[in-house]
Amino acid sequence: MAEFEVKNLGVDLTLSESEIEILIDLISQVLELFGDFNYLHHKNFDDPFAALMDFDIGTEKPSDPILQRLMPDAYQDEEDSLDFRRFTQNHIQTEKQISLNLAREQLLILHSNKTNKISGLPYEQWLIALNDVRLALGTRLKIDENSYEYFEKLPENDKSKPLYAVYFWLGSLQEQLLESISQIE
Amino acid sequence: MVNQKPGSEIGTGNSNTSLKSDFDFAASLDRPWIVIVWDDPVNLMSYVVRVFIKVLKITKERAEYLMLQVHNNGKSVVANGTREEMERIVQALHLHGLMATMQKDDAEKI
Repeated sequence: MAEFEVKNLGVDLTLSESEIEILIDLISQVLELFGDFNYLHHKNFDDPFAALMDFDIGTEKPSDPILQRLMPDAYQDEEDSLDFRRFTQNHIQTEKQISLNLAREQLLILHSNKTNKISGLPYEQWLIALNDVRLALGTRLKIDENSYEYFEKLPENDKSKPLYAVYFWLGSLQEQLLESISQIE
Repeated sequence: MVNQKPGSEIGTGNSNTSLKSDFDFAASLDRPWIVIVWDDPVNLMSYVVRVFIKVLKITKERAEYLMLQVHNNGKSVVANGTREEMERIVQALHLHGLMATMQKDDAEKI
């Protein structure tokens, strides 16, 4: 079970092996949406996350609903929004990729070292990375105010049940991280 | 927005508060652009409060008030100023995953 610990004005994060693997998988999916790398092995339909995140990369205004959510229109007017994108989208996307890549690198180190604790978590980047993963998953699952009740009523053998479970687990992970940060800020 | 913390309450929201209730008309003439944050079902309430404090450089009380306005009314005007200032704020809010738009304040047309 994921656990945050406030220590020496920092936050330590301990994760189980399966939590590390899930996070690496999800973060990689979002990075892939940004065109960060071509992870063709993720386009494997045995992987429920890959199937869920299946995407096409837009060239100017993103066509994928996840990228539209991560980088929404700034104006109601389409021309103004496109202008805004021309000046800001690259920066926003790069900042998001930096946060996602940092979290992913730290998780990969845990995974290869067979350890499970990140000390002095760079939590500003982790908050953005976790939030982007939640926004991505939330967009694909079409999360709304009633989704938790829907999830609870889903039969155990429903294929989407684990995806909802991961989505709500990510929410509690982020909530715990915010709670830990509030103790040191 | 959602609250995934069981049993926690961040004050009580006043759902009758109108979007422009605390908006200074005279000041708006010099600060003609506004930023609106829209409610969404994914962002956590505690997360939105922290983003408001950080990006808008406001107190925790003010941030909680604005967050509850978004939550209860579906949207809230969170900042006003020059176009350039507001574009920087929208950019920072988008970086943090909030649904934010900006527009020229139409109060002057009244």
